[in-house]
Amino acid sequence: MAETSARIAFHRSLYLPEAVRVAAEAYGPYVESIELVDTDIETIAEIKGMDREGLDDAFANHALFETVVRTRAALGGSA
Amino acid sequence: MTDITQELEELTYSTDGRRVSFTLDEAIYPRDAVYGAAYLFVDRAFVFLTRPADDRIEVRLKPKEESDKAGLEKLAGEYANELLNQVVRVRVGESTAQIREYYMAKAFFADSNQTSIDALLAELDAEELEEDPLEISVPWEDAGNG
Repeated sequence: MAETSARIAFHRSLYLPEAVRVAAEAYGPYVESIELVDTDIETIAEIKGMDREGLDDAFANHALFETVVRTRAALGGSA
Repeated sequence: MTDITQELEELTYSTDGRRVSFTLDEAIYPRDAVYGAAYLFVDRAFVFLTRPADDRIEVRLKPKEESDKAGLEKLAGEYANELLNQVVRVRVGESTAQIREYYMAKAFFADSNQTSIDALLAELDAEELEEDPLEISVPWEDAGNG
């Protein structure tokens, strides 16, 4: 196992907290746990028990994807 | 409009051999443009955004496939091109927003057009009824010869 835990800070001006939450729900089954902590400026994800390298990157990608889709939907457009 | 090409010439990237990163001035590269370009790259690369300063966005791209230096350079170049596309798209959208709003408003609220269309339809209806009480259509050729 190359790495088992990761901490990712998503800046709230760039990532919607609900998008990070959706990504956490999607990746939850593949790791031991994903804990989210919201601060004024960041949503911090503590990922534990990753059994595959790159899972944290994929999780962050998913959070960005959800952010873009939701941001555009809120503006009345499509992704 | 300011000279976008001149502004974008300043776009440079750095690499650590595994990923490339750009630090962008949000005044030149709006967040919508950064999102638009990122959205098109999430299937090929892991994209992560950070905010190193209030008006700066850092974009990190890590290819999903194993990549050498040339591959990273290619990825950076393609992202830069797409970012330029998206910046132009956003700016054109902003600069034409008023015109679009004007046409939408005109289309929705201009009664005069609707009135003239209604009048024209009524006029056509009236003509048909006068010439053809049963409203059986007559081909143009027959009508001209007869």
